[in-house]
Amino acid sequence: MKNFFLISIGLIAITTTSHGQAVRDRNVIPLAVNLNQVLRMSITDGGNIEFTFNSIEDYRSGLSGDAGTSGSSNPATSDPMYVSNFIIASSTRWELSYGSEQATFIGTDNPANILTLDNVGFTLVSNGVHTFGTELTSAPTIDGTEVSALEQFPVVLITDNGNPLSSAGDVLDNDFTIIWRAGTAEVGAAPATMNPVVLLEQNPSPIPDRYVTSVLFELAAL
Amino acid sequence: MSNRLFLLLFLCYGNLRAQDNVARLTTIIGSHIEFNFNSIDNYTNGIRIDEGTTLGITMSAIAPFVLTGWHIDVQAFSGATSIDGDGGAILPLNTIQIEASDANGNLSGATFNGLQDLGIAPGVTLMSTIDPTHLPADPNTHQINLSYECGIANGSLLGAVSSYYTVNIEVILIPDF
Repeated sequence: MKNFFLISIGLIAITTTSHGQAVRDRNVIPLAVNLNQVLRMSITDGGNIEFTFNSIEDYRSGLSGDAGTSGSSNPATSDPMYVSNFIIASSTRWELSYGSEQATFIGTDNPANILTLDNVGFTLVSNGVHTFGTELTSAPTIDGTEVSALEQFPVVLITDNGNPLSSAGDVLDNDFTIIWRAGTAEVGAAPATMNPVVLLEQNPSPIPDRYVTSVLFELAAL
Repeated sequence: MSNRLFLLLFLCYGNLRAQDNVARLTTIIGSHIEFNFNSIDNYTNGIRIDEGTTLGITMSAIAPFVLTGWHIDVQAFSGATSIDGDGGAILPLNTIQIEASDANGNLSGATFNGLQDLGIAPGVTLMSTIDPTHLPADPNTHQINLSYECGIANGSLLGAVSSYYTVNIEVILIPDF
């Protein structure tokens, strides 16, 4: 009988110690992160470029927004007449394609008159935080080091280096300048080079006309 | 003999159901939180939702137990290890930070630990108190606010895949003895 009471008291003590419950409470709060795509390109100036050839020197040396490099007769090396600036804001990696809407320039006076696209070329400069060779890549201009001829749309002009965080950014990160030239016959290492023959020496000579094409830009998220 | 055995089992059963305290969290405001990233500024600087949730606290001891205080932890619910979007897109849990604060000035003396990364269990402690004036706690008097941040402390969300990401967070009220 004595043993029974001792065992009973022991069991009661154990169960009291083991099974006393500290009560907690829990609440669940659903939490959502809605990442809406931000993808915007703005051409801030130079949305319309026109080269006017008025002299033999123009035909011999071409016209350029970067006369110092191209040897153009254009008197201003940073003439804003031949410069286009654009900015890009993107919340994700992006890729910019560009190119002429048509396969050649078309004469406005006579549509039968054509001028090949490679008479026009350009270089590309990054003015923003993102630079070529690090966050960005430009294959047509070999990261902005070469003059590329104008090509027909679509050609990937700028993309990133595959780093998911590289090209995404605001307009301070992605700020670019295209420096156009026409008839300068600049042939470098770019995949698409300008016509090596200046307008004055081409055979047949281009027929005088106002040649036009639209250059399209398409910004896409990656 | 059988009566004694019955008495013993009854006592054991009673002790199995013993409870030391009462605890309850009451969501007063903000049972659902959403961060909307609509601009590059949102992506660059992140988003903070100040005092998005208000919780009322119920906490009291049941004699003979004596509470010394209580604290609130937070963690991802049900073992979630990421914030999941569509098509397999994920964000790490530490994209989000949570901070507790005194909602109505009745928790002075409590310790608030500032912004804490959301993480897996066991969670992190948002606040704790051993102040005797906070015991017992009732939801009309003792309330805390939760503020949330996303895309700030551990890098911006620039470059993250656009999607609608969701995660459930678990707020736990824990007594201290």
